[in-house]
Amino acid sequence: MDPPKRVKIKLSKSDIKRDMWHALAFMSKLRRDSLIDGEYTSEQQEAYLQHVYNLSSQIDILMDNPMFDKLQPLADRLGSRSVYSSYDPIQTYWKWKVPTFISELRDAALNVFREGFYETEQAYHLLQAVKYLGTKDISAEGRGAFHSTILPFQNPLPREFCYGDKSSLKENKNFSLEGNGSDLLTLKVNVNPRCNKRSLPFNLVGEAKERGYIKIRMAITGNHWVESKEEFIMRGFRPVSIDASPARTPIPMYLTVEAEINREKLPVKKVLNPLDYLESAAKLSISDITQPEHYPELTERKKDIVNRIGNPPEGVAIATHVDYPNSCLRITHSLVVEGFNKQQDLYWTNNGRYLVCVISSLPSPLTLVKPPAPMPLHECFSLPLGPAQIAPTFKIYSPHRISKLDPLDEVMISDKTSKEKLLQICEEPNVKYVHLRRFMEGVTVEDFEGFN
Amino acid sequence: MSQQFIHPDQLQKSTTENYSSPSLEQILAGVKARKKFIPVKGVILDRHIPEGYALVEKQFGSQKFSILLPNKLVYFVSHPGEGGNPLEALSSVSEFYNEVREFEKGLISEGKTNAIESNWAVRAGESYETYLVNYIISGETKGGNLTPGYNLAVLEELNIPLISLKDLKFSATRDQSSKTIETMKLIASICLGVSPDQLAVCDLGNLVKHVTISEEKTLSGAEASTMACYMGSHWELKPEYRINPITGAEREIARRGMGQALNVEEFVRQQQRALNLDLLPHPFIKEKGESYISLPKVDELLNQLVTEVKDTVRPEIVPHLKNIYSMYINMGLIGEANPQAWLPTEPPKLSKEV
Repeated sequence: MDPPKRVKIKLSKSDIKRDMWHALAFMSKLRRDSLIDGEYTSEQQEAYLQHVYNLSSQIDILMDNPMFDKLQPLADRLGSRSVYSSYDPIQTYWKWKVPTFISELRDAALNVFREGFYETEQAYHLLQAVKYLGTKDISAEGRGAFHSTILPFQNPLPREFCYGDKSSLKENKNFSLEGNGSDLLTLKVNVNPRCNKRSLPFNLVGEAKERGYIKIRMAITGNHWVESKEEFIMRGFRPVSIDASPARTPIPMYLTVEAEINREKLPVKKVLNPLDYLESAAKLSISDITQPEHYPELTERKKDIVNRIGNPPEGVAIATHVDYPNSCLRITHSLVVEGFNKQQDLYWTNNGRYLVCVISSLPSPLTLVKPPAPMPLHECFSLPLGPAQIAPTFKIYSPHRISKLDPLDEVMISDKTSKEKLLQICEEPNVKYVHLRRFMEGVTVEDFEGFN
Repeated sequence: MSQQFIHPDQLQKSTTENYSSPSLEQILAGVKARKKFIPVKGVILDRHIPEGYALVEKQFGSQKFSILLPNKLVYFVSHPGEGGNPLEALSSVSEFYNEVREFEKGLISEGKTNAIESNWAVRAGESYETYLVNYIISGETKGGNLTPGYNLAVLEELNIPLISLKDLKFSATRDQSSKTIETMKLIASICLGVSPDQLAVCDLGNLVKHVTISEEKTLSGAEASTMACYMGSHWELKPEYRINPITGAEREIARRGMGQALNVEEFVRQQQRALNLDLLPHPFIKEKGESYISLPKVDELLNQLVTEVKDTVRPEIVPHLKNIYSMYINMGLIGEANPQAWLPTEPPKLSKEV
């Protein structure tokens, strides 16, 4: 049987958003692959541009005024100085020297990706999409030039831009710097035999990190002043502790320093590369979860925008949201209520890695137990959820058994309506985005999101 | 070379009616060349719709995007999993996907955007995934219930050994079959960030669901008029194993084996203990003598698997081999342990003679 001659398909916002995650997933894959190699092929570059086109298309069609307000400052920056188009989260320069740019980038990413925003990498992809959107109406030649800056990763920042004449990495009689070669993110430093002890570039590692290198290869030959390898390592590299290894390390987490003295290789040192997202992940894994650290403080609190949004598609969206805090909050915090198997009234809110459940009727006496193993969420509560890999951090409160609560929890268990709760949470400092959903018997009955 | 970034004063919103309309001759040429994706614009009368094609219009708000699509692809893309031979579907969907991508290149060179068009690529990718599942899996009735099981004929043709619990223990024999299993275990263990001896065989029943209309169902008028309803049945992945805001990116993070606060050196040592080094590709043992050891690339291991069988299977399967292996590893060894760690699959480019 043949299908009809004409078929009509109506797409919804959620269809477009789902496409957005596809584009992001493939962009992340390409970025990671190329970062690991330290180079990208023209095929990878072309494929990345294609996914940027997809992401731009989806952003374009979903763009409303608030989203526009967040993206425009990025476009303005890109228009003001070409160096902004070289931004890469590996470069720590931006974090220290232009924090407002990072903050704008995060605000924009939060607005576009909402609860799906969890790492700075996504903001990088978003910036590439803004580049694409900003070059719509210019000449083909100009567009081509800008499309050539849409890359899986960016080259290290130019020395002149970061330091002017003060760079430690400025080539002089003591050093020669090898060309980038195929590995774009490796800095090759040859220390000349006549280089004296005091000319060692003490700031080399810091500067390499700021500019966005992920590896330094240093060769020292024929320098008699090198008394011991250990001393050199101590003086030159000052490796930091790498014990506080964050839970999630999508791309190179260390600046790798390889050095050779008189052709003898030194043990490789890895210096923690404080990438934005790593730091936030590390902080979150050890900090008090009630203090959302992921988003910068508000400088100006804007009026709330509260949108009522429709029910999520079955299973997927809810599971996703529940997954979100998992990624940073470890299972050791998980608490499951023993003997509790049917949830009556469950709220959760997400103000940047924060989840709270309020259950209006709990069995008495209430016993909190640590789960023996990661437990799928849908086993804890009769919700239509997929098997989340790790049980998220729950705070479960019975309104009758209140001990010490933080302000957000107090709001959550108050008698206010969901909308009032949302508005009140939006008033809290540091809260940028809240998604509040209420379930009854496993069904979403209220669904609000708010921006601050 | 320093570049000056010029951009309009505002990020202007565009419509999707931004692709150039092909002439009738171009459409006919496309039909003659048996193109799978022919974008059209404006009013098309029924009698102008070529034989064997359907006019599919996608709409978002007031924006529309229409294409001519071969009849068979209408249900390959809108009813993934249905419509007969999965291998034929895999090839057709791949061709369609690559034609969509080709069309996108034109839009990109003009700096345009079109979210509805890009939805076709995503749908094709998902459809491809579902046909992969149906290629590898077939239903078997156990105690009156239909349960998913591997299609043994397919596995045999592809020389893919059926993974059993026994295989997960480190085997001393070094025949081809155990070598394949060892490589697949290595890939899965990299994806999950565990050592190979910590892997478990997955239960297919937890990963896929059987989709069919088994009882009387009343269709709305809109459904009946806008969808061709082919009642059949197929297997498809449960939603949690498909890309969504978290799984999409995180499966990639996990794929690189760097999640879970992994101590890379310890991880590599575990793997080396468990596996014979001759299985490991170059990057794995590169600079082994030094303290820097890079993780092997999953892609290279997959390519290694493909190389071993590609000369012995039918040529039309070859382009899909890598994806078939990926899906088999996803379902057989990674499974529920971490849905985010699943290997991605993307429709391949087919060479013309296939």
